[in-house]
Amino acid sequence: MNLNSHNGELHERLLKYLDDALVPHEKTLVEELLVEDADAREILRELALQAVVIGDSERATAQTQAELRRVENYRGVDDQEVPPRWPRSRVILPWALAATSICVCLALVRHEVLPGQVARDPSILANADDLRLAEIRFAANADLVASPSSGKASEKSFDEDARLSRGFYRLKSGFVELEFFGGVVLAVESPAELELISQREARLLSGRVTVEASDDDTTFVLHTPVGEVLDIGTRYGVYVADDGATETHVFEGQVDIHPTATRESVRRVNAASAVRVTKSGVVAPVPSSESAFPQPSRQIRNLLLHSGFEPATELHVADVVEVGSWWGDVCRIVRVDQSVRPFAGEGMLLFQSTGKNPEKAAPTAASQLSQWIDLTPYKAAIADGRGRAVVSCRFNRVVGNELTDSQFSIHLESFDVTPQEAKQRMKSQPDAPRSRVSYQLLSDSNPQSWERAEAVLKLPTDARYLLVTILAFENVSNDVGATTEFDGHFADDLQFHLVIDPAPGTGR
Amino acid sequence: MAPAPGLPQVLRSADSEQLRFREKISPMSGFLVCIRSTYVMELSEQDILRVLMRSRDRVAAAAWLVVRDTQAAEDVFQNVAIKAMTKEVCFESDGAVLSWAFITARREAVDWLRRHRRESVAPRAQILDLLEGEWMAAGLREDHRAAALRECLDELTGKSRDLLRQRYFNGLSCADVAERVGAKLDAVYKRLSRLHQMLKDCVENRLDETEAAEA
Repeated sequence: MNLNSHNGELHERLLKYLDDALVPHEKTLVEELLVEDADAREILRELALQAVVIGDSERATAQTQAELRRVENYRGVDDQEVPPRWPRSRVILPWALAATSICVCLALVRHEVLPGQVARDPSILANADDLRLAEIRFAANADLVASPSSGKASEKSFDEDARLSRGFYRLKSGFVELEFFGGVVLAVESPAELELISQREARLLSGRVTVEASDDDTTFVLHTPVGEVLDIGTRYGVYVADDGATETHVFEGQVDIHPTATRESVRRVNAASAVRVTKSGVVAPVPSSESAFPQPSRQIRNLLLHSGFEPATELHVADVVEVGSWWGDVCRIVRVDQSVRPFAGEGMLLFQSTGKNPEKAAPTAASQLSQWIDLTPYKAAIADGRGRAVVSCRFNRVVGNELTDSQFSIHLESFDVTPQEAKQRMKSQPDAPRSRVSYQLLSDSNPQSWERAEAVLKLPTDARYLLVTILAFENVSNDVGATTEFDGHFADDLQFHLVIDPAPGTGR
Repeated sequence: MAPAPGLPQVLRSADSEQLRFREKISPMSGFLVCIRSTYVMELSEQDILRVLMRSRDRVAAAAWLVVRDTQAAEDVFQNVAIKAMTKEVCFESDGAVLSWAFITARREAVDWLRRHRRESVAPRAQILDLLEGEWMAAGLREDHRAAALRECLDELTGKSRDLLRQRYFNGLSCADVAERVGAKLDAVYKRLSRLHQMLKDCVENRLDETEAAEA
């Protein structure tokens, strides 16, 4: 079809393209046209611009109507339809950012910048009320509201995925996890009241939080009634009691505490220790207790090794019980094979045989490759029932013919024993109940598309080791005795995450 | 990519990494500062702000092509503004700000997809490069396009507005919209297509009128 033939038709086709409603070859046609034809790109630019302006305009209307409804409900007046108005954000943001830039200049002129302290923080943007600072990435039975002390006429509540701007918030019940866009996660347990100041700065007025920095370069300042806590790439909990006394418990890394009521210099607190600071400035050590504080969720990566199937990756054609090694049937790392290119990097996995002999087809129907993962460093969180294993993989195959196999699979299985013992158990008790999950994928015949499969296994509380296996099945034709079992079946970009779900503390 | 007319040579490369924005951590303070150039004047924060606000809708539109969510696209723009204003980078020209903004918006958008575990349906990089290049090269007329579009939106009937709201504000696919309004999918595409073209015509007319009045 000539997409240039009619402007209206091209419009529709681009709408479908943006809706991800085209089949692969139609999508390819549209993308080729977009590369070649400036008029087509002009239409696409116009559609994108219209989309954001419509979204922004509707958002402003919704905000205005919600605000008006709150005011009218307060006055006892029935809801009325209100006309849309100029988006609030578009009026405030330019002025807020302008004010911010002036503040930056003044701050730099008037104050000496201390090494590694607050000045490194972009709290200088605090005047930009319109800017969102954090997102609620997890909420459990939570009632989080913008506190009236933020100057708003009435309380506004927030749900999971909501984005929060500068202001005061009160967690009346439940547990939330806030992800600051500066790279820090705050787990907050009710009851708590806090102020969000910038992407890297907050104030805890009361309650209990855990702060977790994602990397060593992230600096986060938590103000409390007795001073401020400055992390040094770490994980720590802070509890502000009703009388303002503040406990800081460091779980990993170090923090610096700057008490405001005394002339005492900075107090550095190391991992596995805790201090209490009273409002009068008395600093005293207290027993450290991690479990008393809410636990943020964690995503642990890099447990699966050589998962990009890059050249020189070692594949063992044997049963291996070592963690971090690929083992299984005959497979090979290839760069480009039958015009199929890797999804990422320079290499990909080619499934060759369902057995150990590359020259002769085995009677089995699947070619598989496995790796053991050691979960023991995370056994405490897993024992709480908070562990999930998430594995995704991209699969692809050649066009082939009507006898070309099409099925791939990801298989996860957890064990409460070592790989060696697990191997013996699988032989001696093959039918014993096990914790496992499989995800099947029937691939298309388009080598241009790498299809993604994902498998999630909720880990049993006694899980110690995990076996990750990817498979290509002879689901169409089981070639027994032939030299070639697979026409060209590939895997790439295997990703593993151990997800530790968040949990409230036991401190109350 | 064809060189964008009117842009400095340094901005003509499709390879965004070649652009001259720089960052460095001061060994004295730990505060992110710009390296002072001895031969080129750097833009003030007010200048950077002016460029960003002028091109806000275009940068957000570029982000929307990646995330396909209008709220997320707006958030991406906000993150870009924050990064620009925290002096992590410095700029020598308006074009450099704009170019950096598009590059940063694309990275932020991809990060957003990753954080929300959404599959990318973005156009391939070559197309995004072309679109962003054209947005950067757009003239003064383009700066007023979004404002004209807002006025045109106010003229739509309730039904038309509702269709656009469901698709772009509520983020429904056309198939979901068709199901909600009890129409055939093709009819929804046709109706949306007509609406978009109508809005475009309205915008062009308004821009022509403004230019004529100014002349």
